[in-house]
Amino acid sequence: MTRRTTAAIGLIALAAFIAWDLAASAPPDIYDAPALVALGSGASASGAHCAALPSD
Amino acid sequence: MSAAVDIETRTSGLGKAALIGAAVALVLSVSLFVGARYGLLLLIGLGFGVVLEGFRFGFAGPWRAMIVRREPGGVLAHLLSIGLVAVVAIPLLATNGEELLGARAPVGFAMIAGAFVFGACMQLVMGCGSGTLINAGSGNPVSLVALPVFAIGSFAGAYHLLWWTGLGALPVIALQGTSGALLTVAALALVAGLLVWLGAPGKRAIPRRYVIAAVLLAALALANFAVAGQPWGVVYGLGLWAAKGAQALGADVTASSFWGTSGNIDRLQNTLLTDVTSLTNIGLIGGAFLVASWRGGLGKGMPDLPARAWIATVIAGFLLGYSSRLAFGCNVGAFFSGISTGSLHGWVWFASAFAGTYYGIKLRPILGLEGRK
Repeated sequence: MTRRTTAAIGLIALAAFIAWDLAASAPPDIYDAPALVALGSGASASGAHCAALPSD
Repeated sequence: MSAAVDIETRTSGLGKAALIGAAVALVLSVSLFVGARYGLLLLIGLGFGVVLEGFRFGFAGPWRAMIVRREPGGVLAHLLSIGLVAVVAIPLLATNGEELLGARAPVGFAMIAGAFVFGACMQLVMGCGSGTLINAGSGNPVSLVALPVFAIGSFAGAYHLLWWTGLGALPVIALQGTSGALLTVAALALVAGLLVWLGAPGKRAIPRRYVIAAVLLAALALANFAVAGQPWGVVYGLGLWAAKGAQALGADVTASSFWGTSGNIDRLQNTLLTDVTSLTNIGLIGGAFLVASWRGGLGKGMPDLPARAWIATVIAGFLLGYSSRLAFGCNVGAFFSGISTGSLHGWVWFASAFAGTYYGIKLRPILGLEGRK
């Protein structure tokens, strides 16, 4: 067995996970998507980061 | 030319077009069906993967090279990259604080201990946050085993995060504005000088490929910062993946003081293709796969490791995830992004994880991770 096999297993597992997530989650609303670039958009940052403490 | 090389050349010729096509299709699909920003973030993530795998540049390896062989080149390249980001990001945070967030976190007991454990475990798995994703994308079986448990550890660490921070932490301390950027660059230069002084004679220069990688990485990190409104991170996304899995299995993850906040409930309900760090994580895996396939690097065989090495990989993988949440980030979220956005915790993380790395290197042969002799 080579890394070709393990890489394929990893990618297939990732693709399956994304497909399951898309099926299980609320459908994305393209019309409610944020501006292309946050900087200069005027909107406050809303993403999550590992350095951030949880806040409501 | 041998038949084997012929086959390799033919396959890679066809494969290259397919690889590029698949990457473009993926980015366009996300842009069209989820949102343009999300497609752009996936593209940036692919860029991270291509640069890290393409230049064989990471974090665990250079730290090991500094400790084992006194070769500071890789760590110096990290400092260069962080400095390039800092001179732009710290002033931008001062002028555009509404739109941008820094990787700023409190220094505390659990944070310091978490960074130490992370430093040790990243030597056991030979991959940090980004490194585990990159190695998994290039088919490294150790990282493929470590990645799912890393995600579970990240979920669990986040679940318990507030209990750990309750043990004692300072308020968030961060350098601000132009003076903050200059102070950060001065401190980086000081550490670089110390590393050069500690380096072995004749081994103190930064290899050219590391310089190029550092500059490209800085450009991508700044692009990520401008597009996402926050710095490059890894471990939140992995924890979210495991949280979604736990929820699907019936666990009430919202009972947690972390996963139960409104922002996290939203992310649990929406697709991970709208989560900033998930997108760049997917890009890291995809970009590494692209480069590894492009240069025919997937033909390598499996490592011959004893059972105890695989058990150590599973435990270290879990601890990587758990400890990185307590430490408010991994090499990317805390060290790279923390320092480059002025956070004191990034500096403390660096010192503590470097100490942990020393012990991780010592543990590798004991746990059979150097392979059978």
